[in-house]
Amino acid sequence: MSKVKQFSDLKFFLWLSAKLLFNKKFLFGGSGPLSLFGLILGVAALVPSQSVMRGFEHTLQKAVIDMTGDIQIQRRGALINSWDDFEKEVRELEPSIQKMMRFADMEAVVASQGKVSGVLVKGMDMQEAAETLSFQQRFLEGGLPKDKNEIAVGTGLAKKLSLSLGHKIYVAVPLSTPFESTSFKRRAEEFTVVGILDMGKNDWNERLVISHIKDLQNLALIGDRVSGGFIRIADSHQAVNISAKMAETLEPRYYINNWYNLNRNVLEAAGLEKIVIFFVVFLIVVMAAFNISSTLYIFIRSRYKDIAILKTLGFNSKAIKSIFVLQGFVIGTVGTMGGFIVGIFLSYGFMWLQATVDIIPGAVYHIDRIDIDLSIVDFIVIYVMTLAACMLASYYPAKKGSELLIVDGMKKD
Amino acid sequence: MSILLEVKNVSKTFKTGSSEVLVLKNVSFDVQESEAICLLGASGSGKSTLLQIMGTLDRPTSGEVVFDSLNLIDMDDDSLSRFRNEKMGFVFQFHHLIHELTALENVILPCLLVGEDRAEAEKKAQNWFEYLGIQDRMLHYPDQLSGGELQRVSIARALIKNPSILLADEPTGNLDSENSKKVQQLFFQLQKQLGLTLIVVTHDIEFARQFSKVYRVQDGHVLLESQRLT
Repeated sequence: MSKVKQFSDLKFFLWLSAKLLFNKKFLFGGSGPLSLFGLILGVAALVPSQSVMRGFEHTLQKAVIDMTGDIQIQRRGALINSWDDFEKEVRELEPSIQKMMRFADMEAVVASQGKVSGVLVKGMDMQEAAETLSFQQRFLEGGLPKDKNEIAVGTGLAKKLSLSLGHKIYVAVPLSTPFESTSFKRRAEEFTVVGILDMGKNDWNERLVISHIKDLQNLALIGDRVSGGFIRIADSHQAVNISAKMAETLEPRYYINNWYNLNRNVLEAAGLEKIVIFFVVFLIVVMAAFNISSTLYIFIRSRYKDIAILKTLGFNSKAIKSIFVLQGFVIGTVGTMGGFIVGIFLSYGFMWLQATVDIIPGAVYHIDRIDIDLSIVDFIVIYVMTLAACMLASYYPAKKGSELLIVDGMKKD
Repeated sequence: MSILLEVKNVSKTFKTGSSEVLVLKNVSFDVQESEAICLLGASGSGKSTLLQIMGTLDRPTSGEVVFDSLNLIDMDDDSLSRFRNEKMGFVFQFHHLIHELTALENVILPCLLVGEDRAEAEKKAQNWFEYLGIQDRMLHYPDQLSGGELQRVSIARALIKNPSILLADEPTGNLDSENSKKVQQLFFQLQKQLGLTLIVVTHDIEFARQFSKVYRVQDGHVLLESQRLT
């Protein structure tokens, strides 16, 4: 049979299926609308569950890349003396690097208004940071440090120390002394808070502060030396492979990490949860499909006379079966589309709820809010699985209908 | 005229619980091409069962039905369905139109099933609607049509594929006398103009008298009651 003929057959059977299905009896009476509503609810539950889980992964990935780039390299147990030489070495090793920037980091203690907190100070060149990282868009108040001894803090730390723009804080860094291993010196300077930002991860918001690299180098007395570099590549999903390749040459002198490894446990757990949640919520669709099956069974029984007359016109059993299986397809399509619309509303409702009520415990999930990610892949998977469930559900009633003898069908009222 | 349909030693038994009822007993007769025959009999005599067996809607318990040298009893579901679509048209006491389809859509169904072009099928149907005088009812749904109109639509549906044989089971049984006469006249007009082979089941003696050949179905046997030379 040619493809054109098959398509015209399918078109005809779809047309007839829809015509027979959407009558007043099915749409406004009995269990027809109820079973359709059940399917819509099932699909509607799947959409936000998948968009939130995918959004969780995406939010976490974006937060890490925004703040630290795709790949992070840090010298083990010492500082890098010459950034230019180091950058040249790394770029020769991996030509696909798009951007690379230096950073220095140091454990410190901040104090303000009688409160103290342990922090990690990240010193960056703000021009390089603007070109390489994307955390500028994460500022809730103020912006990047521009002048001497300016500092930006995360929302958690700002809350903890009751900081707002213009507040003065003391930053104290420990300096090791080569002469006495049991003690260290400390140096402290006053910094002005010029920015408060949401770094995307709860522990960063509470512990990370950003200063200009020169200020940190001066405070810690490390000269021009740096701790390591942040790297951006064209395709973030290649970060694991590229960092592994770099590690072959640079380790053990350098510690190399990437955005995925930084959150491997959480991302792997989220990936598994996404699959489990899909199948658990999909059970609602399966139950709705059973409901559709019983509705179609009753519906087909009420159409025995029509089935008989179609057979007298030349429809064979296979054609009759096709008509009613396609009704499963039509119900599945209508139910899925309705479910998508409701599901998208629910997803945006979740976003609204996050903005209104603090529903994500940051300490547990590492992030304070989740951006939903409505992916076409998820929609296609939900559509295909729902259609398969509905068509399977309609197969048994369709088969029973197709086996009807013409003379028996003619006798039915 | 050649033989179009042969009924050979056909018997039909129905099982009701533990008992068996023999409705047709070794029935044999021929139907000539372009012939109009009537199966006359009382209610429950088995005339409709015979028509259903001749029309491949039911299978006999034993015996053969041969159409143009083709034994219909040996054919499978697919072949029989195709055969019905191409060679046979059916009209029943009740119109049996599909309520969700317009009159036009009901009529073109047998054409669309075999992949005919919809526009061509609609054109053919339109000709039949004009021939039957119901061209202004094409886009009406069955519940918007009168009994006579419904039966005309079902006749158009039966004839759209130009069948060799038209089988009608009490086609006027559900009509008032005026519409009944019109439909009767229509059947003979069609038979004469198209050279159609017509087999009609009825218990209406007035209707039966108009046929060239009348078989009486009685006690499971089929007897030639009258034959008029044409």
